[in-house]
Amino acid sequence: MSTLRRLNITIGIAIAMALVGVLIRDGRVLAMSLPFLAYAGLMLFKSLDRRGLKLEIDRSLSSERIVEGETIDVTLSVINRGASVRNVCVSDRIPKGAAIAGGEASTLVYLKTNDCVTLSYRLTAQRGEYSLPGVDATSWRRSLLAPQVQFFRRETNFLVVPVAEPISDVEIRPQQTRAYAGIVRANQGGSGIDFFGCHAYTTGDDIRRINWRAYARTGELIVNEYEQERIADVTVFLDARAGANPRVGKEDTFTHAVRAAASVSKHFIGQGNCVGLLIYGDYLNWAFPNYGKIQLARILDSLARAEPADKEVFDDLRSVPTRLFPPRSQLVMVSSIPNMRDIEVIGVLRARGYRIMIVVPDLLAYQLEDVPSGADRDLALRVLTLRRRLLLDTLARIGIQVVLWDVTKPLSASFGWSSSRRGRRSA
Amino acid sequence: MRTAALVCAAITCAILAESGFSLGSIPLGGAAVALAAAWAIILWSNAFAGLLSFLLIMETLLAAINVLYGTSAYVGGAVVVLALVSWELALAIEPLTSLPKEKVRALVYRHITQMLIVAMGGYALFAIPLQLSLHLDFRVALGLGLFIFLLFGLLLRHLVDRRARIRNGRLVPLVRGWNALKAALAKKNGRP
Repeated sequence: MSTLRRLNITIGIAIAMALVGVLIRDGRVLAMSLPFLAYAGLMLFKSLDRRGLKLEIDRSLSSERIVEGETIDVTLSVINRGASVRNVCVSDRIPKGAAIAGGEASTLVYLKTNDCVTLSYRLTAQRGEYSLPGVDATSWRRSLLAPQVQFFRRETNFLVVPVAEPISDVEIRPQQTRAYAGIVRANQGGSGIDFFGCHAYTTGDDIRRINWRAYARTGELIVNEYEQERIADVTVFLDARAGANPRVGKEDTFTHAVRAAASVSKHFIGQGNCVGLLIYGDYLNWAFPNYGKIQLARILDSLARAEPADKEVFDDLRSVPTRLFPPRSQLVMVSSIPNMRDIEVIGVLRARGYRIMIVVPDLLAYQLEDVPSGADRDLALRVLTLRRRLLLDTLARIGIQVVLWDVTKPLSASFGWSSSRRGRRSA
Repeated sequence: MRTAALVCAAITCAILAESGFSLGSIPLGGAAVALAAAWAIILWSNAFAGLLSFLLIMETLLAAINVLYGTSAYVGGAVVVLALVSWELALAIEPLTSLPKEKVRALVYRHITQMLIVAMGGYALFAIPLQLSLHLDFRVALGLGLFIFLLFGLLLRHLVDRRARIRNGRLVPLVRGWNALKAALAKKNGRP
């Protein structure tokens, strides 16, 4: 509590007591206001001896960008450019969501003129963008009465990007691919590994591809064709609508959705594909499709800053700007609860030639965590499972690849199961 | 510090409860017990610090009611002083919570000692006018109190001015120089 507020409270009580004492003409009540007045006077006297602190703050971070779960080393140095201060408490203000993992972010020191004090500590934080705003300096002259509190602004920003889990066995089959070689099967004959078909030998065909068994059977030269493997355009679509990302107990559905989007993006960029990101919720946060590590960093940065939002214009998926998606490309939607209206829009996208994969983080395990076991719990579990199955079966019927991710298990397990039942709902 | 605050608050509430029950009023005594419980919870859990001021007001109110119903005014004064001390000690904990205990120990002991001395001074300040008011007429005592308050205000103002003069002392040559410059300019561009 600030000195001014303490003064206000004590003077207020003193005035109230004095008024009551005067009104009821009782010297005893009037006298009871004197200790408060004396205290207020003492505080006033103490706060007169104030010369502003002149501190020079410098802060350095070991890294400005860390992955969730890692720690960041912070070194804070404070130099006193003013008069000597006997007792000064220097405390670095920690932003909400971050926590100290080691070391000390505050200290009590005697700072002479041009003295320097250095604090070192480690910070850990959840996904997001953080700003260390500055330093609180509280100084006392001789006693703890009437502390002088000053805030020195020194902003340092850092970013905590989501963890991208390694996933494998994700197979996509977009209708259109790019010209460059990759590992996505292009549905076109040519050079490759997987058998695609045969055609009659024409001049220029590689003679090593002649199918000699077919020649023995038919007497005509027939050449084997293999499926071309190219890179593809992949758009990761993160559903950041608040309605689609409810909190289940302490678990935040959106956190899992962001983690899934990060994992998928990393996987497809690792394969050499051209990957873009659209975060649909607060506004159309669009990372233009591109390749490589810089694009991955760009996508992870966008995901680190992503927050669920409740905007009426984005109430359903009708406002999805389809012109941002390359035609007949692969869409990977990460959405916790797609509803029936969304399914209609997804069906339209499918009809336009987009291949769609939906990753659905499933928090059913957490949803019924606090419900005591019994017949009611079993019934609730059945109802929830049936509702979800109905929804996902509807999606599977219109040709959407659904990956139901039980968040208590690694994401790669869900993808492995999904690819073994291509085009159908997993789990 | 927390222990000292708790001890002061406990003594305050014990006196309040004893005087309340001895007056025959269960609500007054019960309220004091409830206040003691609230103090213990706030200091133990290190939360709801915003309620400390409310507790101070309630203690003062209870002390005043007890005094009006017949408890000795000196007891009421002691309650008010102790409540104020416990409130101050509890508030002083807040900026020190993040610091290691061994670093702040000396500061804390000094503060507790100073607060106890201030409390004794405060109690004397309460007791002397009370004695005067018992021997003088209410109006005379009030007039005397206001006169002393005026003197106190004057003293404070004097101190403020003195400090301000000391702080601005380094500016005196600058002001003198500026005045000399103004005077020189007034004399037709420096010429007399």
